[in-house]
Amino acid sequence: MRNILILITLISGLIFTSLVKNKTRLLEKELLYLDNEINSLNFNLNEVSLDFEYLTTPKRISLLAKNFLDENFSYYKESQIKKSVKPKKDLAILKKLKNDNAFTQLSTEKSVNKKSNVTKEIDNRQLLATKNIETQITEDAFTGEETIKYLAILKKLKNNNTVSQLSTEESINKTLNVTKEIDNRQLQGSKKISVSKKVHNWAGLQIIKSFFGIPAIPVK
Amino acid sequence: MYNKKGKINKPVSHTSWRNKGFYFEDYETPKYEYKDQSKFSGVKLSLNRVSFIFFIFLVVAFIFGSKIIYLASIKKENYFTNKSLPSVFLRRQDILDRNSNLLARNVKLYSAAIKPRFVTDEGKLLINLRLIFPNMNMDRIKKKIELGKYFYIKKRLNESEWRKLWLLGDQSIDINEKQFRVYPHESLFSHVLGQIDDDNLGISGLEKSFNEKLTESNNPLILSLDANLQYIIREELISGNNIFQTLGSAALLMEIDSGEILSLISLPDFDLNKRMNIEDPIYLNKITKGVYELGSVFKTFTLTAGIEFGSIKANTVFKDLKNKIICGGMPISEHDKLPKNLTAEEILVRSSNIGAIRIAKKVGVKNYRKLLNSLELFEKINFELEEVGTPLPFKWEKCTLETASFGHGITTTLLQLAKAYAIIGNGGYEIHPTILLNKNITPQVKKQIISLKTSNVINSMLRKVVLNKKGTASFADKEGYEVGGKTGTARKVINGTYSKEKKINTFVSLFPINKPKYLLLVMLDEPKSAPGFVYEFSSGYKLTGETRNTAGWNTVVVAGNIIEKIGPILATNNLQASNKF
Repeated sequence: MRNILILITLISGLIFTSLVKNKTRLLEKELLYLDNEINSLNFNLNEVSLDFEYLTTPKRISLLAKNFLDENFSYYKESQIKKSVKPKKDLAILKKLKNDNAFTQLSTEKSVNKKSNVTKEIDNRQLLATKNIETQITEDAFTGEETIKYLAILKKLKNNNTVSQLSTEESINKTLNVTKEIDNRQLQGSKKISVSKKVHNWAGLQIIKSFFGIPAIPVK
Repeated sequence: MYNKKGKINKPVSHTSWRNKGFYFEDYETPKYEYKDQSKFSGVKLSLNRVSFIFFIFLVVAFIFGSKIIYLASIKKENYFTNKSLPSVFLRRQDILDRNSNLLARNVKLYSAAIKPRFVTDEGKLLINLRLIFPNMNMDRIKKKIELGKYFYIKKRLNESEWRKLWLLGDQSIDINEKQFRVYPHESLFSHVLGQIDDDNLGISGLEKSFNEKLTESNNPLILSLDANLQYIIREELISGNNIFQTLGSAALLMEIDSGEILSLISLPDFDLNKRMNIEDPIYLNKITKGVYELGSVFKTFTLTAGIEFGSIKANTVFKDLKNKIICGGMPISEHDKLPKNLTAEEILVRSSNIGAIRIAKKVGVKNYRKLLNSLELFEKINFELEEVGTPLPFKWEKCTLETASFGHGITTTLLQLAKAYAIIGNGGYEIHPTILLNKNITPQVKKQIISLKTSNVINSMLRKVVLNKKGTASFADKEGYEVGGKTGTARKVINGTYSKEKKINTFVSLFPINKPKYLLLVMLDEPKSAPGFVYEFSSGYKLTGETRNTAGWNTVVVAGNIIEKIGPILATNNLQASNKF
């Protein structure tokens, strides 16, 4: 019995040892793997940040500014600004701009609604005007050719109103479609620009990297 | 019991068997002995052996177990120390400016070399190399292989080239890894950062003075310098150098309360990435290392001494000032025709040499020396860079006071001059110029060098030097920045005599003068007159054909342009902007 117990202890000890060793090996392996991964990521981060720092040095930025920025951004002395700008007028313009900005923040739908409201108001006014003419005609009680003329005018006005009502709806739809199309085109354009910018940036990075002798494409 | 030879076997004692070694050959006893010794069963014998093996396993398990416990107990940060990482992770730490812009960083680079002795298939090697480096001259490589000496095929490989070469697995290709220090701003901080050698050890500038910190610390070195300001000031200095055809120039921008230096430039400079061998004295750091006679900028100290020791007041009139005097056989004259009677303030504003001498005489050698010593103008300044000049020693003899009163016969560095002006401008307390961020931030007892009253009086005088039409620094009067300052035109000593043409022109400015916050010092080395240059006065009047080359006609112009450009960045008290917009 004693011997069996010793044997069991021995065997269990062996199994435990092998298990512990195996687990340790796995842990070490994982640590090494993580360690390598961290190193690789750190290396990449190092490179990218270095590229960024080089490309954003004041020298590079001023070069870019010289090449691509509008000349209107050139430096003005305060006295020059003072001469050219009348403060009161400018403040008024600024206020107006602020208000405009507030409007631009509104959605396009809202602006369309506003437009439709305005057109409705115009239509209502036109209707009122025709009613007034009608009442005037009835009050004045025209006869003969004149009445026929006025009636014809009235009919025309009414038709125009209905047409104008229809046209406002159509125009709203049209404007919506146009704005959608413009948005789509702008989106496509901006995508193209962003892609080309990315390509430019990437190419620039590679050139600078090769200049410094830094590995061009970081590979894990 | 008989054996085969017919002799009686001797009984084998149990103890004698036990004394034998564990692995001895005679461990295996004869069968009959074995049978006789019933106590020593086969199971017991094997148990000893197994227990030994068990003991070994137990030890191994204990070692691994303790390792697991250790790994579980220690902190992650302690495990992933720099020592455990490969060498790419920075033998030298980064250097950053005050806005965390990178000024210096180590990167890993590879170089590929050929060991001709290990070349087995030359043709195959050359084809492989041609595939990786299509533009490489293969004939040259072939010749070098034939010579049989170790040679480099390419230094500074990029990542893909390195990987392709590594994948070849050719034993004749030797790929070396090396750390390389990169300076993204190229020459912008050359005089501050300094250089390192091939072993990544600093040999000049901050790289040398902070070599230990950069190699042993885990944190980057953060400087008080500002890359944007540095760039703007450098551009203006270069522009000034071109206009006035100077030998070189220098500028220093400092916060006068903390002593933190925002910009330190000395031209000409050099590209740190090119590892040039700098031996020409023209490349010396003019701010810290250059020792000069600085001329009329010393008149401010003369006036300070006079007011501090009660010898004069701002409105004290000095009558009958001569245009020329002789001191120790040497003539001392005015730079221009000046009125015979001038107040102390006018003496500073119009930079009268004879007036300064009269004030100095009134102050006396003792008091004047006391003030200059308290401003530490003649001692070697304690600064972070190793390239620091020591003012030339001199004796207070017969004419020393006279010449010192207008900045001749005594020398100092531009850094010390800036420090002295900062003390005068900040209310009179001592500061220590530093290039490290937040070094002087800890609250400390401020040592008063001059009184606040004197500081205020001098500041108002310095403002008049710029503001007054007859002042020498009217080109620095930039609207909204309230600049005050003093010019200095000093003749250079060439072969023991003062040269008439070669000058050191300096302008020290403080702004905004109502409560000075920044000090800007500009120095031009040997500027020439610029008759073709269009001088634009604050009134809008334009002037060309000016042939004078005193500080007011060149250094002040450059300093004014600098202030105009850096002013918005520094966000100083721009009165016009705050009131009208």
